[in-house]
Amino acid sequence: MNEKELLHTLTKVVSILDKTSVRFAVAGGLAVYARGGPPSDHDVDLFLKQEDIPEATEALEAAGLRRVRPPEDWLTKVYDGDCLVDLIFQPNHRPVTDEMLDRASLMRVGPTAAPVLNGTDLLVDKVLVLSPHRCDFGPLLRIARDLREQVDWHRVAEETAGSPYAWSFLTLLAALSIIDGKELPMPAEAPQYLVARLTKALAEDPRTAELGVHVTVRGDQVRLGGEVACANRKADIEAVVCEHIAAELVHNDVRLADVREPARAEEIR
Amino acid sequence: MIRVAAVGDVHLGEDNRGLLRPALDNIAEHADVLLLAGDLTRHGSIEEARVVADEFAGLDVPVVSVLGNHDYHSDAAETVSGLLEESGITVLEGSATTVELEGGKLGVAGVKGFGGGFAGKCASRFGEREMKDFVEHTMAAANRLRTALEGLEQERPDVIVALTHYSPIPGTLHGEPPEIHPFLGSYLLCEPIDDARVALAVHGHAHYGSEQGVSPGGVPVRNVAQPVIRAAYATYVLEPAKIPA
Repeated sequence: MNEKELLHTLTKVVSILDKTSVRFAVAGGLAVYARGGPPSDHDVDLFLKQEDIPEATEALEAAGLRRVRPPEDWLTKVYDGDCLVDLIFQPNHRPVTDEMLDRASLMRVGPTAAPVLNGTDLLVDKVLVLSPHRCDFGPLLRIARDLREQVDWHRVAEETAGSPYAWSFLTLLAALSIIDGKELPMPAEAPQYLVARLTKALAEDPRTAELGVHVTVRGDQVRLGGEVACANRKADIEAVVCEHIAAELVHNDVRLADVREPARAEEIR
Repeated sequence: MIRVAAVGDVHLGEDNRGLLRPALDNIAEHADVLLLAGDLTRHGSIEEARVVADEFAGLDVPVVSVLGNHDYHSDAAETVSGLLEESGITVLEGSATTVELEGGKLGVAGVKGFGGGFAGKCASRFGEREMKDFVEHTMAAANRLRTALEGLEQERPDVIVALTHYSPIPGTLHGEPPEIHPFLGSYLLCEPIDDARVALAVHGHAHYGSEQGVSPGGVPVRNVAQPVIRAAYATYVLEPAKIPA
């Protein structure tokens, strides 16, 4: 399937649905393409509400498209010749809503014009597809670069907060300066709990047994202070802390005991 | 005069065996006696106690010690004490000892002590059994220190020093967060010290505290936790005249 055939099918589907009362928005690869991303050659994805599926499929069938009934419970499919059109009403287990369709904007997509999913909704959808078996950041990285100024990344981070794959991808975007890391409300632990957890680990872990190490969290940096008897204990403290948080965030300011003879005596009178 | 060397919280183990020894080999130049204010080990294990025993064995001055909370962590405090005693260290727990020195007779009364906090901001013996146990443990330690000091005065030492692990006053805790003061010491430990007109009270435990403080009764208190004194030990020179005849 090439880009031209996809756009031809999209044009056909849009003109059919425009004659109905069905609200829809172009999603997936063609929405990315419409918003300036790479061309798509996969299929035509439309988002619409579940209640509108019967009317939409009826109109499309009446116009000569062929309906199939897939086993999935989040979309239905029609074919225009060999070209597949996905009618999606529950992407990533989240129902398509009027609000989402309201956020879509009318844009040119090849030869036609149609409502195109909002950049943020589009990226939320794309990022939520990441899973243990679909974890290729490459194509997604290109989309993120191309669409970045059309996306509210803060909302993407919030709406994908439950996904460690999304978190990793957004962290990568921040590390590459594609997005500003400050926009990301990362699901970080409250600093008080992090301090408590690290302090507890340092006290109870037999490798350290340290009650006298001060843990200070400022932003995403963790500073360790205090004094220990020798260099390998300082290293052990760092090792225990780094089992809880990323090593590059840890600053080990713990000093080593001074065990020289005293320089002077105090007279107590 | 009597020169007292003191240090606490040395937290010895196999990995820092011998760390203090270079400074200790020379200790007689600086002091007549060495007091250890507890937390000699990290986990209170037998192995660590052996390191402590070796570290302080055969010094040119007598060594008197109390244990600290770390030394109780393996529930083997008695064995730890036994090992230290075998190598010539006097371990005090609600007890006292006297040492005849060139400058006079020094009496040391010692107890580990416990927490609870300081007057007006302290735990009360009220409510849950666990809370009462907590406070009663401190009360018992304070009573043992009182008994030890009273017994000591009968031996008429020229100078009396009180040795604890936990702090008897909040003054030497400056630098520690006030929220944890109740875990660092108790005013109950200070009452017997003030009643006995001790010349110097020495404690450890508070790594972030400050060295100098004074009890409500005017007794100088010194926090000798190693991170505070920043040396192998601190030395204090006492004049025997402190104890009235």
